[in-house]
Amino acid sequence: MKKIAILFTLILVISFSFTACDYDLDINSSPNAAQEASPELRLPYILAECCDFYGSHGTRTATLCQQAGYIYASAYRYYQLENWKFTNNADAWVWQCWYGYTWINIEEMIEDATDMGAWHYVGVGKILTAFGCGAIIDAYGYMAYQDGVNGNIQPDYDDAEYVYSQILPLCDEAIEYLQKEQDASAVALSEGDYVYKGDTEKWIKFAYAVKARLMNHLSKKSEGTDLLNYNTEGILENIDKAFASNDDDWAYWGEDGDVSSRWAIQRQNMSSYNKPGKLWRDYLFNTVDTVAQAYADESWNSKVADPRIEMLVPKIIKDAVVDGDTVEVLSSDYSKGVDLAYADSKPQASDTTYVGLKSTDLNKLYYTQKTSPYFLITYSELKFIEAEVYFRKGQTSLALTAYKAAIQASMDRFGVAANKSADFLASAAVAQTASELTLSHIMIQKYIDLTYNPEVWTDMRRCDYCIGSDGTYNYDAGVYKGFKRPAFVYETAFPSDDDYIRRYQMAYYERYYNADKVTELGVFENDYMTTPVWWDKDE
Amino acid sequence: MPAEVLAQKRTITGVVREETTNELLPGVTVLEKGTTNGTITNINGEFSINVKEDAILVVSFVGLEAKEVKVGQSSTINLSLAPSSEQVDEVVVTAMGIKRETKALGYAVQKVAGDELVKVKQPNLVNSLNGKIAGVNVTNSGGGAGASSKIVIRGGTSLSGDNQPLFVVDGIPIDNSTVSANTSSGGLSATSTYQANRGMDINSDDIESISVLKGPAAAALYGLKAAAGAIIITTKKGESGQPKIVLSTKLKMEHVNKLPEYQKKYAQGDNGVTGDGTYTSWGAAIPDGTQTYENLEDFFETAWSYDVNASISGGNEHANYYMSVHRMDQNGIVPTTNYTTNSFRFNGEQQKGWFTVGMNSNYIYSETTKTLTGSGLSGTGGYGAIMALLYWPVTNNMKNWKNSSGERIALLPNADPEDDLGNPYWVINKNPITDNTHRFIGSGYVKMSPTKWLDATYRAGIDHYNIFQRAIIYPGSAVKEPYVDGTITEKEIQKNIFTSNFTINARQKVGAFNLSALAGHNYEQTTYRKNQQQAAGLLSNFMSINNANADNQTFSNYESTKRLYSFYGELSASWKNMAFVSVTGRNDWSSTLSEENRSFFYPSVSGSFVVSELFPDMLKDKFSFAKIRASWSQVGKDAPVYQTATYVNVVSTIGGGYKNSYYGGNPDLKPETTESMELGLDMRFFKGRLGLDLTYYDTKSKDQIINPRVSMTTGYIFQYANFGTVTNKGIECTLTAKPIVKKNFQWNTSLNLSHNEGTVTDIPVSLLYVDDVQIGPAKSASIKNGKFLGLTGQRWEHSDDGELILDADSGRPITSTDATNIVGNREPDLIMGWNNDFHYKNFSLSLLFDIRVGGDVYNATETQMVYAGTSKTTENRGKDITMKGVSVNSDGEYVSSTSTFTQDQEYYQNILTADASYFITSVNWFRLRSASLSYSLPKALCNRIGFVKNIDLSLSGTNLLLFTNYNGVDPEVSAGGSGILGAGSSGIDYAGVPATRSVSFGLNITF
Repeated sequence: MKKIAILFTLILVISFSFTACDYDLDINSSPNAAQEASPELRLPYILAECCDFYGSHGTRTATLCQQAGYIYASAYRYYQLENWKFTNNADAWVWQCWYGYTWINIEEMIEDATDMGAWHYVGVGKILTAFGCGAIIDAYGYMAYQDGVNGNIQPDYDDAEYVYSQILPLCDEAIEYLQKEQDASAVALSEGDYVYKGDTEKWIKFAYAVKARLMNHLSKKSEGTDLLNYNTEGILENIDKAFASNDDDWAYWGEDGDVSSRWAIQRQNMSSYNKPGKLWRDYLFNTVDTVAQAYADESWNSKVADPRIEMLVPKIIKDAVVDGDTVEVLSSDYSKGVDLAYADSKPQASDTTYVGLKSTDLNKLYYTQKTSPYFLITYSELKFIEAEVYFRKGQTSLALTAYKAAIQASMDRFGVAANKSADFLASAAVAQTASELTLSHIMIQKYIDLTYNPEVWTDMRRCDYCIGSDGTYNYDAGVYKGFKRPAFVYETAFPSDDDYIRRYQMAYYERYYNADKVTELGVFENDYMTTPVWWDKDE
Repeated sequence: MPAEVLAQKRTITGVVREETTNELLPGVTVLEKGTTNGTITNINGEFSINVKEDAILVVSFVGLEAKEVKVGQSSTINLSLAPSSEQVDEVVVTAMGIKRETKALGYAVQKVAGDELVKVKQPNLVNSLNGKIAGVNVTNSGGGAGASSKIVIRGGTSLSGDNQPLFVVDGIPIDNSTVSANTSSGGLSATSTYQANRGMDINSDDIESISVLKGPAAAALYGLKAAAGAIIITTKKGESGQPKIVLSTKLKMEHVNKLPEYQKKYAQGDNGVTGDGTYTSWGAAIPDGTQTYENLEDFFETAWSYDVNASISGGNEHANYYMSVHRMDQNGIVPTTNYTTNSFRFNGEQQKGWFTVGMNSNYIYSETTKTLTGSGLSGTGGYGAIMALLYWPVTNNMKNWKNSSGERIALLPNADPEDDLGNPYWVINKNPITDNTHRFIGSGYVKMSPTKWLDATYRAGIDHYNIFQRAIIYPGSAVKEPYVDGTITEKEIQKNIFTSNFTINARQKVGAFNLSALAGHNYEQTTYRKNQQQAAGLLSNFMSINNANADNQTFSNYESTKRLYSFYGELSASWKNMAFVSVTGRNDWSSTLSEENRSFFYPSVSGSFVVSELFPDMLKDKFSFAKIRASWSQVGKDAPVYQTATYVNVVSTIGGGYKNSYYGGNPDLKPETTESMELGLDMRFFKGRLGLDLTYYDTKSKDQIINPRVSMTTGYIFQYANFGTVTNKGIECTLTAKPIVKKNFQWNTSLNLSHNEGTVTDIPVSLLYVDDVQIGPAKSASIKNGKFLGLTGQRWEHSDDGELILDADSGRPITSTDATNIVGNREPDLIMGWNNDFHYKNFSLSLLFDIRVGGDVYNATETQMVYAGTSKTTENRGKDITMKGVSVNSDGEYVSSTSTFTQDQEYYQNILTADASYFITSVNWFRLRSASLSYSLPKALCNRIGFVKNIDLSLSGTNLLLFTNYNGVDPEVSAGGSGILGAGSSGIDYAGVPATRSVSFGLNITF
C-alpha cells in the first residue's frame, strides 16, 4: 500500500505539469488578419477592383469587337477570343473579380456604413452595385443577383429583365443616400474616395450617368415611360443631371512604380502579343473599304487620319545607326492591324510590322502605360448616348450637335491639340449636316472613343453589328461598317453565317461548381452564346 | 518434512543461444516441467536451476520455438532455440505503445521490422512501406531528390483534409505534413516544384519496428488525429551485454526510369512554317542533314548517393542506451539538385526500483536544392525546368543557354522575356530553390510499476522544426516584369508540437478472466509560424532580399496555435486466452471549434475469438490456428484552425485598405465523424507454415469539414462547410508461407492484396472540387454518389446514343467546353505487394514485386506536349485520320457518317486536347520494386579478423523492372505531391521529375 501511496503522490505531482499546460481553448481567432474593416478602408480596394473587373472585361470585349488582335497562337486565350471561342476560362476573371473582389466588399461596406450612418458610402456602394451588376448581366445574360454574395453555395440565377428591374431603382436609391447628410460620427467619404475625393455631387452625376447608360441599353424595347421601356425622355433627363464636362469623368489613373497591381488596368492586361485589330485601325484611319474603293465618299472611307491615332496606334520600329551603334527608333509607319478575314497563322510573333499595344519607351500609348487612366463612364459617352437618342427620335439636328460635342470631348480627353481636333471635326471623316448623319457615324465614333470599354460590345449587339435584315453580313444596311464574323470563328458555337456572339459563355466557376443549376440555363448547349440577352431581343 | 523435499535434487547449469545467429540469449525462461520451479537466463545466456532427477526442462522465449530437454547424466545443458515458425503469439505495438499479442486484437495491425526497412534503404521512410502492408497505398511524387511520398491507408476518408495517417515516434505524434504545397504562398504552387513530407526526416536505420494501425478501431485511443490510421514507430534500444557497434554504408546510383516519347521530325515554328516566333514545334519537316539535339535524354544525369550510418548500443539489466549518427548525400537526376540529411539520435533508459526513466532524442539537419518543375513561380509567368524541357524544340541546342557575358540566350529572340520559354539549364543553374531544415524530436518518460497489477507512465515530448526556403529568379530570366529584374522569395517556417501524455494501467486475474483497465490524459499544443519575404525588381544582380527598393519588398507573417486535450480509457477482458473483448472511449476538447461544438466523445468496441482453441489436437497439426475478430469504432475530427470566421486581408492596390479573404468562414462548424466496422479472419496451417489473414472493412466519414471551391457568386472561392460522406469499403488479404524451411535454405514469402472503393454521398453539388489540380482538359474531382478519386473533364460531343458527333462540314469531332463529364477514377482496382525472402547459407535474397491493376492515370504531360507539338503523337501531322460517328443532315437529324480529315495543328491543339479521355489510361503495372542480395561473411573469417562480429555485403536495387501499359513516364505519379489534400493529385502526371531506377552497394559491419 505504501507503494500505491507513493504512486498517487507522484500522480499528483504530474498533475501539476498538466495544469502548467495552457488549457485555454478560446484561441481560434486568427492573430494574422482582422475580421472588421471600416468603410473607408474597403472603398479604395472596391474602386480599384471596379476598374479591374470592368477594364479586364474591356480587354476581352476589345478582342471580340476587333479593336485588338492577337498573334497566331491557336491555343492562347486572346487568339481564341478573337475567334469567339471561350476556352481557357477566357472570361473567368471578369466574373471572379466582380463577385469575389468587388461586390462582396461593397456589401460588407454598405453593412458597416449603415451601422455608423455613413450614408455616402452606402450611396457609393449602391451605385457601384448597379454599375457592376449591369455590366455583368449585359455580358453574361444571367447572374446570381438575388442569391449573389449571400452565402448560398448553389445559387439560382436571374435573367437580365429581372436584374434591370432591380438596378434601375437602385440608381435612385444611391442618389438618395448620396444626398443625405451623414451622421456626425460617420467617417467622411473623402477618407476612402480615391476617384472623386469625397465630392458627392460628382458621385450623384455618376449615378445619373449609370442610369442613363442602362436605360439606353433598352433601345430594342418598345418606347414608353415604364421602367423597362425604352424611355428616351427619361434618358435625356438623366443625361442632363449627369456629367457636365470631361472633368466629371469617372477616371482611375494608374500609378508608376514597381507594384504591378497599381498600374493602369490595360497595362496589367496587355502583352506585346496583343496587336491592333484591323477594323479599329480602319476606323481610325477611315480606310474601311480598301478593296473595292466603292464607298470613297463615306466618312469612314474618307482616308482622313484621326488625330487620336498617335495616342492609340503604335508605330513600327526600325533600326537606325546613331554614332556608329545600331539602335531601335520609330519609323513613320503605323503598325498593321490583325485582319480576321485572313489571319490564321498570321501574324507571327516575329512579324515586326505588327506592333504590340502595350506601351514601350518608344511607343507611348494612351491606355497602356503604367500611369494611364481607365474610365468607367465619360462625359463623351453621355454625349454619344444623347446623339443616339435624338437620332432614334428623328431629331437629327440635335443629334448632330450632340455627336460633334461627343467627338470634341473625346479629342479633348485624349489631349488632342485644339487646331487638330477642329480640323478633324471639319473633315469628311465627320458628318457635317443633319441629313448626312447616320447611326453609323455616331456608333463608329463611339467605338473609337470607348476603346477597351465593354460598352462597345453592348452597342454592337444593340445595333446588330453589320447585319442586314436576313441576319447575315450586309455592308449597306449594317451599322458597324466592315465588321465581319472572323474567318476562323469557333464553328461549334457559331456554325452559320447569321450566328453572331450575343453573350459570354457562362463563367466556368458556375459550370464546374454549380453545374446542376446552370445546366438548366442551357449553358452547355452549342447555341448558348448566340442567344441574345433580354434587352437584345426586339420587342 | 514432506517426502518430496527429501527427493534428491541436483543443479543443472547451461547456456542458451539463438540457433541461427548463435547469439547468447538473456531472459530465456527455464522451467521444470509440471512445477512452478523456474529461472531465467542472465545477460550471458547462462542459467542455473535446482531440479529433481529425471526432470524435464522447458526452455522458452518469445518468438522462438520452445524446447523440452530431459535432464540426463550431464549437469550442463547447452542448447539453442530456433526461430518460431508459428507466429501466433506475435507481439505488436498498438495504440499508446501498448504491446499486445496479435491474437488478442479485434482489428488488423501489421508490423514491419526495422531490418526490413533497411534491406533496400529508401531516402524517404514512407517509400519503404510500399508493398509491405495490405491496404496501404504509397504514391511517390516523382524522382526528385527530397521529394514527398504520400501514404494512404484504406482509401482517403476526408474530402478536403489530409488523408495520411498519424505518425507516432516513441509515443509522441510527429509531423508528416508537406510544407506549403497546396497554396501558392511564396510563389510556389503545387505544380511549381516538389516538396518534402516531413516524415522522411526519420532515419530508417534507427527503427526497431513499425506498427501500422489501419483503421479507426486500432487507433481509437489516439483520437481525432488518427481517423486515417496511425503509423507507430518504435526506435531502437540498447541490449544488455557488450556494447554493439554497427557501421553501415551504401553507395547508390540512380538513373531516370522512363522518359516520354517525343517527335524528332518537325522543327520549331507554327502552322508548318519554321521560325523562332514561337517555342512550339509546329514548323516544317526538318530537312535531312539538319542537326537535331537529344535535349531530353541529355538533360538527366546519373545521380550518385552516399549513405553512412553508425550506431553504438549497449546496457545492462537496469539500463540501456542507443546512439546513432547518420548522413546521406543524395544527388538528383536533374543536374544541380540534391538532398542531404544528417541525423543524430540518443535513446537511453535507466531503471531504479520500480521506476524507469528514459528519453529519446533525435536531431535532424537537412538541406535540399531543387528546381522549378511544372509551373514557374506563381505570378511571374515563367515555366519550370521540366515543363520547358518537354516543350523544347529538337532543332534547338538547349545546352546553348547563356552567352559569353552570362546572359540568357533567348529561344524567341523577338519576344519579351515573359513570352519566351526559359531554358531549363538556365532555370536549374540560375533559379534554384533551396531549403534547409533543423528539427528536434524528443521525449522523456517515467514509468512506475509499484506492483504487479498497476503501473503508470508519464511522457512529455516535442517535435520542433524550422525550415528556411529560398527561391531565386536571376535577373534576365524569362519572366514578367518586375520579376525579370531578379526576384528572391524567402520563407521561414517554424512548427512545434508539444505533447503531454499520462496513462495509468491496471490488470487483474479473476478466475479464468484476465481484466485490464487503462485511463489516460493527453494534451497537445501545435504552434506554427511562417515569415515570408519577397524582393522583386532587384537593383543589380546581387542576389539579396535587401537589394531592392522598399516598394518592391514585401513581407508577411502568419502564425497559428491549436490546442487539444483529451481523456481516454480502455477496458479489456480475456477469457482463457481464447476470447478477448475491449472497449475504449475518448473525449476531445479542441480549440478550433466554437464553444458549443468543441467537446466530443466517441467510443469503440472490438473483440476476437480464437476458434482453434476448440479444435481437437489432431486437427491442430494441420489447421493450427484460427481466429475471428470484429470491431466497431467512431472517431471525431475537429477543424483546421481559424475556419470559424471570415477575415479581411490587406491589399496592395492604390489607397491600400482591406478586402475580404477568399475563404468564407463558418462559425457553426461541427466535428466530423468517422465510423468504421471491421471483420477479420486469421488462419494458420501446418504449424504456421502457411497463413491467411482476411479483413473486410466499411468506413464512413460523415459531416466532413471541408472547404470546397464554390460558385463564385458567393463572393468566395472557397467556403468552409460541414457536408459530405465518404464511404470506403474494402478487403485486405495477407497470405504468408514458408514453402522451404531447411537448415541451409529457407524461402519465406508473403503476398499483400487489397481492394478499396471510395465513394461520396451527401454533397449538395453534383461534383466537388476541393483542391485544384487542373491541367489541360481534366481535373481531379469527387463525384456525388460516385467516386471519391474521380476525374472530370472535357469530352467530344456525343449523341444521346453515345455516337461521336462529327461536324457536317469539316468532318471533325465537335468539342465542348463542358468540363464536368466524368472521365475517370484514379482508384486502383487492386494493389498487390509480393515479398520473397530466400536464405541460403550466408546468402539472402529479397525480392519485392509490386502489382497494380486498374486505376486511371491522367497524362497531363502529354496534353502539354501535344499542344507544343513535341509529343510523338503529333508526328502523324499531315496524315489523314478516319473517324466514324454521326453528323447532322439537312433535316437536322443524326445520320451515321464516316469522315476523313487531315490531322493538323488546329486538330491537335484545339480538338484532340479537348477530349480528356484520349489522355486517360486505366493503368496496370508489374514492377520489381526492390531487390537485394546480401552475403554475410562466415563467422570464422570474422573471428580471424578479430574485433569484428559480422560483416554483411549487399547489392540492391529499386524499380529494376517495370512492365506497364502506360505510355508516359513511370505511372506512379502525383502532380502536386503529398501536400495536395482530399482526393489529391495521385494519378495525375504533370511535368514532374520522372521516377528513377537505382542500384546500390552496401556494407554493414558489426563490432
